[in-house]
Amino acid sequence: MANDTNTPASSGSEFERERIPESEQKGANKFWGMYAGEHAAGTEFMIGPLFLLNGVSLQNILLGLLAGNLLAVLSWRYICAPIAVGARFTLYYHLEKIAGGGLVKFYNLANGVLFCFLAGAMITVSATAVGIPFDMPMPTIDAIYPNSAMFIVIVLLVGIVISVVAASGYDTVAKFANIASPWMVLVFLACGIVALKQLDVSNWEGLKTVWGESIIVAQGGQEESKMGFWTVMFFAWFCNAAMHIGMADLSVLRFAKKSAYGWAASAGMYVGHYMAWIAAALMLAAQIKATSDATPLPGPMAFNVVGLAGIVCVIVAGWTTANPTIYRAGLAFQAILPKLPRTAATIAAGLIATIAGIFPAFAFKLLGFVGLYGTILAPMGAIIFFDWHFRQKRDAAYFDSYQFAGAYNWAVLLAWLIPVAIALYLIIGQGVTTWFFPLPCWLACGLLYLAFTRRSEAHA
Amino acid sequence: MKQILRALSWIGILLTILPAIFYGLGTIELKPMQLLMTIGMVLWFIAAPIYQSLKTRS
Repeated sequence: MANDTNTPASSGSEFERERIPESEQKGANKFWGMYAGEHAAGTEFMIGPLFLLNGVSLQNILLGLLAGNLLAVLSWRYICAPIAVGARFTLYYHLEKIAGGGLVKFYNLANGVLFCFLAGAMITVSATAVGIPFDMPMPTIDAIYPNSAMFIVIVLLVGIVISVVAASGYDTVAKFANIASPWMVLVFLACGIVALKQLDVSNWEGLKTVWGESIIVAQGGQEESKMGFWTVMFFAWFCNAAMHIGMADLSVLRFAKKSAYGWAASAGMYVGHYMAWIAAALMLAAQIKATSDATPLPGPMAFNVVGLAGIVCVIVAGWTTANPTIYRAGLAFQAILPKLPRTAATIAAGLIATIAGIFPAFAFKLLGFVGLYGTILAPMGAIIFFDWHFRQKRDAAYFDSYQFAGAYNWAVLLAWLIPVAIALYLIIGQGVTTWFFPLPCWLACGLLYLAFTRRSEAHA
Repeated sequence: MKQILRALSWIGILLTILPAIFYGLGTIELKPMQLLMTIGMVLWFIAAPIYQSLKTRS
């Protein structure tokens, strides 16, 4: 998952409503470093083990992630980056020009709430590491509610600290995250190497056997795969759907000199969403082999393989990810209530995230939640994509002067809500897997937008 | 000063990854490996921020 610590515009004061001038455009190195760090987040410790618990075969993990991450990189490079360097606006301002200010506030509300739940999962991840020295009873994999008063207290303390720091010292945390990033990436790699050694296998067949045995233990005596190659591939492709096809990274890539810098996303995908996920999954397999315990708690898992460095890595990874997420949620809430001071908005977002963090289900159901997040937010990116290519004709000068007249563009609102509502019915009502919906919703949203706009223009 | 801090940062980074590789190769035990990684972590988080701030200032 993404951790937007380096977002040049995330301080909320740089070129929010104007094109990025040539003098402010950045070179390629900045983007490669930024993406590599952004995607080594606390949630990576959680996602890898969840593949094992879902009975995914090693082959499907290796190949599914390889293909899915490639598609994600291509989405950044060919869907998001060309519009980012063409228009050079933030997602919010770009959307406001098409959809109207009122509708952007509505989108911000959805964005802010989802950010809070994501940050809540990160707070839970950090709490599992902070709780180790206090011998905290850890929640079990099927837990929805907190299992002890100590867990609640630790989550509250972690959440309050993160919220207060997010409200008062964002720049300090961003600088700290930049310094921690290379170290965290290496700790992830070290965790994988040590876990592999602890599995005591000497070849591919041996690893497959141990992996299968771990799945059997994790699933209570059976070996049932709930995710195949396609599911893993779609998950890897769309777990950051809001960022690439959803266009949230317009805010980042608008600073790029060339759209080719979109390739920099490959650093994040293959470090964070390939190496780190596989390393984390191996950590759970090693834990199962040693103790027959299949609970994927990042803190204890990392402590077992690399000791104190593992605990600190989980805390730092969770903290540096939750912090900008809460900050961005605060900005989203502030956009809805402009009179609310930013500090108060950030604290409010932090409190919602902290309350969410008390419920371990948000962390343990992260795979499904991430799909839901992409399904709801990513389709708005289709509005931008179809508008830019089919209505603005990629004319940046024309788009610069363009502004939708009114607060709500109903063509955008309906094009967004109709496919998302159908998807939510199928996900919540029919139990269909969330990761299959971002792409059809995205396409449907874009096509409906074009159809509604042409219809309203024909009537006018 | 800058050169010393830079060297310490590199030692910190190397102590973060090399012990795990040596453990993987079977040339070091788990506990010493974890201790070396902890030392690497401390070195990195002390030396790297100061080095970065000196670098930015100069």
